[in-house]
This record gives sequence, structure tokens and C-alpha cells, in this order.
Amino acid sequence: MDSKQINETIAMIREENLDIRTITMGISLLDCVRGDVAATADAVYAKITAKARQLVPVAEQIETEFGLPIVNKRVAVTPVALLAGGAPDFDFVQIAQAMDRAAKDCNIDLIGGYTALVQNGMTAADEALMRSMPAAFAATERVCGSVNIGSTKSGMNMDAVKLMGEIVKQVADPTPQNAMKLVVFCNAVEDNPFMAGAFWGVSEGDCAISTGVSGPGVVQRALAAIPDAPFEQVCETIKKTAFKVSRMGQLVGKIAAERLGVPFNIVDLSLAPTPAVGDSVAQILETMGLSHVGTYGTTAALALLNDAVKKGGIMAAERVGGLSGAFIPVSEDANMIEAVAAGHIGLEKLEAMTAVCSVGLDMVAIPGKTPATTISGMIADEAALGMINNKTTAVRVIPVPGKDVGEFVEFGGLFGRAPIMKVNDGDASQFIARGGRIPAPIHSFKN
Amino acid sequence: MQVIVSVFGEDRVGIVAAIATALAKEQVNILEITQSIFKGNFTMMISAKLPENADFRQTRDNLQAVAKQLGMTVQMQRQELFDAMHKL
Repeated sequence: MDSKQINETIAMIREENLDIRTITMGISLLDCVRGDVAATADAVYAKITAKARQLVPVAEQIETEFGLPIVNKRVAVTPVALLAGGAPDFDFVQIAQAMDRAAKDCNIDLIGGYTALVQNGMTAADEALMRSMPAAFAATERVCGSVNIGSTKSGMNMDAVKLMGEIVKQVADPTPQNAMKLVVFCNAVEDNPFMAGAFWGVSEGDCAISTGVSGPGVVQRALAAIPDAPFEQVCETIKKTAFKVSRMGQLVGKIAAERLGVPFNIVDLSLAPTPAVGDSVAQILETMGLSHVGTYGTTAALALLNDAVKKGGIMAAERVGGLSGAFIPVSEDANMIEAVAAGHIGLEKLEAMTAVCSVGLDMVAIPGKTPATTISGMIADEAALGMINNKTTAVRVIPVPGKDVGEFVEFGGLFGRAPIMKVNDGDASQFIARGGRIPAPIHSFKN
Repeated sequence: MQVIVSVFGEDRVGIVAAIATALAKEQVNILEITQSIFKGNFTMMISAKLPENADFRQTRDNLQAVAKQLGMTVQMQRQELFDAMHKL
């Protein structure tokens, strides 16, 4: 027994907000396709509840035995656009309602997978699902969805980009909080356990458990202890901390999978902030020596953080996946909110940061009057960063009806509050109206 | 099942006795104890073994009730957590 090590672990949990951010069960719904919407909805409800009934009790048992908080218990399902079968007028909203009912009955926080993968083109079912999103998110509480509009291998589906600009606006009106449930991806991954973008890819098995670990506070405290150390030591410190944090994810995921009688899939080693003081990714960057997040040096700091987290975590877990790295959601990070409110960081710098973070423009509130074509332009720019750089990027922007720059929107709980950010007031409408496809990029001659 | 019981708080008479008695009542076998006091703050770590049929939550709750009377904080966590984090 090494009391110093025990003390260190206990301090990480008690004082530095170390937690298992999510334990997510992936469930394939491909065997629920019936060709009739009511029968499919019944099968969806039955399968989710059969598989996930014990998820929350098992997670709570583990929390008790290890004294380690498991913040969210979630389910990710097969992209729902694939469930239409041969039905010509498939009402996807009924599937969303069945998912929502199943989530409530199993006491699950959120259920993801109201999703279409359209990087190569849209089927009638894909388009119907995308167009049903405003109604589906308004009619449900816990359902999350995503649309993958591009990939490095396929290029970008600009018809889908155009449509999603409009859908994001519709989803947010009149309830902007509904837009938190929708992510537009480029290079979406099939095993991501984090919401709102989690879905269970068609190449995955029938059912498995994944975990997402977090702990920005732990990394920040470790770096605060070495204020003048050179970067090699900074990276080593992050790697060691990420290793320890990821081992928790491996341990908890493995035990949960055993008790639930399903395989263990992956650990997602992501530093995901919450609005709580001391649980901020932006604060880690500031602790590296930046007066505030957004100043010059921020992108470099984030790049080294993202890379070191992966290097440390990868050795700690049997299989790593998901979106591993550092998230930079604006409204969920106290220091990020402060920097935006003080005018230290704008959308342009955030966009640059998304080229080196684990995902993209996340939880960004923008004026309600922002045109749909401008949102499509944001989606296109983020997707281009992902497509060219062979990484996942995403857009989760929240146009807030009736509000403008300088005002705040409240989301509550873990989702925090967001200052409305200034959007470039140029016009992308002619560019977006072209439609069609941007072809896949060349993988050589990288300059 | 092996657990680590950690006790924190202001030093006073009878902490070790009270915690050890509470553990004995639950048939928990103490394997190792370390204790230190720094600037009046008492810290104790106990490595212990729960009986096969132990109710984890019940044992922990009883321990916490005893600690509360002493004005202390106590935690009981499975040993594997610490092994996973610190042992390769």
C-alpha cells in the first residue's frame, strides 16, 4: 500500500473533478427494420430497453464500489436513416419518440443516433430524416442526432451542407436548446461515446460498452506545479496524467461490460470540460502561460495538449477510439465563456483551434438573425478543415432567436451558458446555392 | 474483495479505535494501516478485506455514519482503482 499514490487518486476525484464522463452502450438496430413504421418503432423500443435496462443500475454499483463518479449513462444506436426499409412515407419522428421513451424508461441521460451519413449522397430516407429533425427534437427530450456531410475519402456533399444550414435554424426556432442535440460532422467516427454526436456505426457489433473519460482539472493542476518547465516536461506531465485518467476508463468499462454481459469496445480519452470551476480545458491552455485563451500561442498550446493526451492515453487502454483528444465547447467551459465575454476570442480563432483539437466548433451561440447560408458556410469551412487534414470536425452552433451579440443564452446544468458570438456579416449565399459535390482531396503533394 | 478505507479530518482521540471497531463489526479484516498527522490534519489509510457475502453499500454507509459522529470524512473504495492507476 502506497499512501502517497492513494492520496493522489483521491485528490484527483475529490478536488480536481476526475470522473468517468460517460458510459455509453452501443446498440445495433439493424434487426429492428420491419418495413412499417409502427412495427419498427415497437422493435426499436423493445431492443433498446432489453439491452440497456441494467445500464444505469450497473453504473451506479460501480460508482459506489470505486467512489468514482460516472456522470452520464447513455445509449448510441444505428443511424436511424437506415431503418426505413421499403416504406415510402416512413415517419421518422415516431422512431425518435420510441427512442425517447426507451431512454426515459431505462433512466438514460441521452440517446444518440438520429443520424444520416450522407457524405457520398442522400437517399430519400436520409433526406426525410434530416428534414424531420426539427419536429423530432421538438417532440422528444433525450434524443440526439447527427449528419455526416463529408469525409477525406468522399469529399463534401454540398447539397447536404446547404440543407443542414436550414435545418440547424429550424431546429433552434423557437427553442434554441434543441440545437444542442444536433451535430454536423465531417469524418464522423462510428464508436464515439460522447453526445450529441454519438451513433453506433454499421460496422460495429450488436451491442457493446464504451467509456469516455475526462479530467481537465487533473491536467491543469499537474501543469500548475511546473510553471517554468520546458515543453518536453509539459508534454511528459500531460502524458502521465492522461495515462492515469485513461486507466480509470479502461477499468470501469471492462467491469461494466462484464456485468452487463456484452463486449467492451473502446475508451475515448477526451478532456471534456464542464462549466464547473476547475474543470476547464481553456484553463489548461492558460496555465501553460497564456494570459487568456484566444491570444497568440493558443493554437500551439491546444495542439500539444491534444497530441499528448492521445499519446498518454493510448498505452493505458486496450483499445482507444471515439473522438479522443481535447474538446473546446464554448458554453461548457467557464474560462472559454469568460474569454468570449471579454472579447479575447472570436469565431475566427476558434476555427483555427478546431484544426488541432479533437472535434470542432462546439456549443457556439450565434445571433438568431444569422442566415441559413452563413451557417452552411460555417459547416463547409469546418468540414473542409476535417477533409483536408484527415480528422474529425464538427459544427454544433446554436442560432438564438431574438438575441444578438453581447447577450447570453442559458442552457442549464452541464451545458452551461453561452455568450452570443459575433458572426462575419458577409454573404455566402451564392456559394452555397451552387449545390453538388466538392470532390475528395488528393492524398499526396501535401504542402 | 480488497478495499482501501481512507479517513481524513481534524485529529482527536479515538479515531483509530472507532474506525477499527466499525470494521470489525462488519467482519472486515484489516491488512495494513498507515497514519499521519500534518498540521493537525489526520490522515489514515487502511487496506482491508471484505467478507465474501458483504453488502458493499451497507458496509460503507455504516462506516460513514461512525466517521460523521467523529467529524471525519471516510471513503471506502475497491483496491483495483488504485492498482489500475498506478501499476503497469
